[in-house]
Amino acid sequence: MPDPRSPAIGSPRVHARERPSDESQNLVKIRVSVSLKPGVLDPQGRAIQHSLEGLGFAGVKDVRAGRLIELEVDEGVTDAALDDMCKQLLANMVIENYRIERVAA
Amino acid sequence: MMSFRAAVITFPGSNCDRDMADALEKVSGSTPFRVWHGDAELPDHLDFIALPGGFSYGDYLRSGAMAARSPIMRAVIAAAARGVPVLGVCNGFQVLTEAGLLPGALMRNAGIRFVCRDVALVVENNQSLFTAGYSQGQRITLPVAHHDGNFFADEATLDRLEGEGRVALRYGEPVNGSARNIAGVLNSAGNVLGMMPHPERAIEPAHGGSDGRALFASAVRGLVQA
Repeated sequence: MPDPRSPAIGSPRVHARERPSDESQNLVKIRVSVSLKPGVLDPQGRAIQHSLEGLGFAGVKDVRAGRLIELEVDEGVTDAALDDMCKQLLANMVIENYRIERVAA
Repeated sequence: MMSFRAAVITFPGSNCDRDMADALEKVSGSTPFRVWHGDAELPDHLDFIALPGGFSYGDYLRSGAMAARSPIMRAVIAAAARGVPVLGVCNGFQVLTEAGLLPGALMRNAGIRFVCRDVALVVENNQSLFTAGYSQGQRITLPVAHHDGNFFADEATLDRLEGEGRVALRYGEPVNGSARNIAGVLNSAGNVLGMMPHPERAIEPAHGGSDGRALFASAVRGLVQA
């Protein structure tokens, strides 16, 4: 039974946050870690490593720089949908790997 | 005189779109259509589509990533599949790889720094629609201006590109760490070219060089004859 106060189907611009929280699904926090595939040269990581050496930190053998993307999603969003989000946009599968974690909100 | 129906796509953050339109107009004699990223459709019966350089969507996420998923790109992908010539320069090349129209990816320059200068290039394949105005192996000079021009693809893909003659342009000097010094690649059908150097910035002597002119002239001539 649709809630009469909720937006009609076809009104995608109304954001979930604009509805009272007791009516929306529980939110879960998703952490997507995107990293370069092994073997892909990471010039930024190398520059960071050189800077660490310049600061006098010894023993740093390798640095790889990645990207952390945090999403808040309705708990009904499936793992398959999250996987698709990564493959279609959040990661470039030519050069990057990704890892999805559900974390406590 | 036949008109040449070209479209130049502008994304938020494109900054070479006017240069691209100007180059196409000067070489073809026809004023290109200007198409906005949010448009869902391209003009009918296009002869040519250009994705210009710049920093679409502020390079958010990855260079070209957001633009590749914008509404107009669905129409560009469909047009490319029908055989309409598509040229992507610099950010346009990044958009084409992100959209899956060309293989590989363009990563941060190996030397970390933004590279903005004239570079030597070698025409590796002059059999394409875009490069027929050059001679095979011709050395030309075009400007580059990019931070993410380091072309990457796995070895099998690189071998395939080389074997199929899809490396259109190669740097004649080290520029950005690109695999096998690749500066421009074609799709398998030969109607999509992505390249980091800017031909639209080198079409007349006032630009300091005119080696880019033949690229547009090749496309215009090829299509008018076809």
